Amino acid sequence: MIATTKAYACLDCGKCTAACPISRYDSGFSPRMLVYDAIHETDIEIVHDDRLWQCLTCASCETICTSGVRYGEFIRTLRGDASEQGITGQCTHGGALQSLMHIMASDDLKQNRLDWVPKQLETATTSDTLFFVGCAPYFDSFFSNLEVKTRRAAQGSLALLNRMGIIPAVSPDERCCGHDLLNSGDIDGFKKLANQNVKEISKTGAKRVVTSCPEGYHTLKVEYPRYLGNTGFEVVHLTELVAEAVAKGELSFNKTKRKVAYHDPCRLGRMSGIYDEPRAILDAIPGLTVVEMSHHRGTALCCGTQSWINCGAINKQLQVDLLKEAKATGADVLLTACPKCQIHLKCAMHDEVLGQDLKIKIQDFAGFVAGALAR
Amino acid sequence: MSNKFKICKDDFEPRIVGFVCNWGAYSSLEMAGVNKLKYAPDVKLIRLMCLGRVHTGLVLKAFEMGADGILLLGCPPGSCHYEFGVDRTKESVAQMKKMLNLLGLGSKRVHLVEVPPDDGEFVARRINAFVKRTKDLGPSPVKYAPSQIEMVDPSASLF
Repeated sequence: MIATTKAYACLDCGKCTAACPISRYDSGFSPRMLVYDAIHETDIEIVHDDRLWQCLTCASCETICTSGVRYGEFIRTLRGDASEQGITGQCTHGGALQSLMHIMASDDLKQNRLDWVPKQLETATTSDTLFFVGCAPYFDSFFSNLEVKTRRAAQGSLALLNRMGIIPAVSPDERCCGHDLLNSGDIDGFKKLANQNVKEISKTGAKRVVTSCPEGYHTLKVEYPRYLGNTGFEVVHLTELVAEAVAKGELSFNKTKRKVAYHDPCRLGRMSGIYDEPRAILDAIPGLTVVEMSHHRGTALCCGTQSWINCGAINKQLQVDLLKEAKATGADVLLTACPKCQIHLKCAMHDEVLGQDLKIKIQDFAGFVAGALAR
Repeated sequence: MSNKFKICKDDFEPRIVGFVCNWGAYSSLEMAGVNKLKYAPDVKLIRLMCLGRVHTGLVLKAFEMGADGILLLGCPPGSCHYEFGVDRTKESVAQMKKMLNLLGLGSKRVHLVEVPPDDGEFVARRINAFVKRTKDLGPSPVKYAPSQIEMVDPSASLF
């Protein structure tokens, strides 16, 4: 593990600690100390370490590391070792999301997940392109008390695809992509879900998979081939397709006077390098003012928590920081491409003391862009 | 052995978990016991201080571990020992039903019964009705047996 993740190359320079959002509030946590301990401690000591579960896997450290230590993979491997011994992080939401993912790994499940598809939009049962929806239908029902509206991202994505002349297949039995199980160390569960998804995607005959969720994008594109070998389809993010269409002048938008700030989700920005496409799309909307938060692109702040494990005071503080930064830009709307960011930030707005100071409208990227399309 | 007790091969014995409120429903179950009423043995009852404790995570975990149905024995509105437990339960039940519908298990696999205190006959009747309903629905399609979950042998003694 130390060899494959290049942990041996750590120079102990401390840049990772300076970049790490957790280290900002918890002086006991430091990515390089964890690397040091993994090398010097015994295997048993390191898997019992609480710090393993605090990491947000936001890739801030990985981006800044001059020695190229693959910290995300490092922490994932350690979590995998720990969970093999029955050690896990603290599940948030009563473990409901973990159980949901495990239930979805069953073969014979016949889900009712397509009720979000509006009548005026077109989908197909077989097509060259498949739209991978992700967990949006579940999130909206589970987090209805937070007024989470991630279904609109799916609807907006479909509207954009239709407008570009693509009628994608949408699988009725698509599973969760497995991102959260993988990042919390449950490799078996992840592989089960991944195999189900590859099977479901191949049923539709799709050669190209479009996602709007950044976690789904990164997992399907990078992790599926790593764990399953060749999957037989290419994965593109919606913003890549839309940016291409915008550059060719195929899409036209209505004029608007709104002012928006765009938040780079870690899976899309730091981990996949997609920074320019969303901004190019927003620039194409006439009259729209796009403002940047002080931390943007590679240094974008984290939405505070990951994989439905370990959410506490530090995580809440990180969300407060992000929302305060968004408020400071004076934007009417904070746009994010990731459903998880929306859930976590809307949750932070329910703070009884700070809530009103943090209130800002949060919308998903695809839904916003689709709403601006000219009729 | 007479035919009456012969168990058919295809006879489906559902695995049902019942969460029971300590204050209202459990006293009714005790009353059923005192009155020597018989009810279906398929429900494994778990006593809690309040049904407001049962959240979607617990119910989904039970389904993950192979439950075919979940029976919630709670209190009628206005009679909660903690005042707010009934409202919490209703919110959670609405949430879990939505999730079960999406998963394709169907909302009928979870059932909330408002049990009046000390009514043994009522609770016995409702347990039997739910067991019959779950039998009609058939086994749950969920099959997930990871190494982490230790299945408890039901025949083993706890003491």
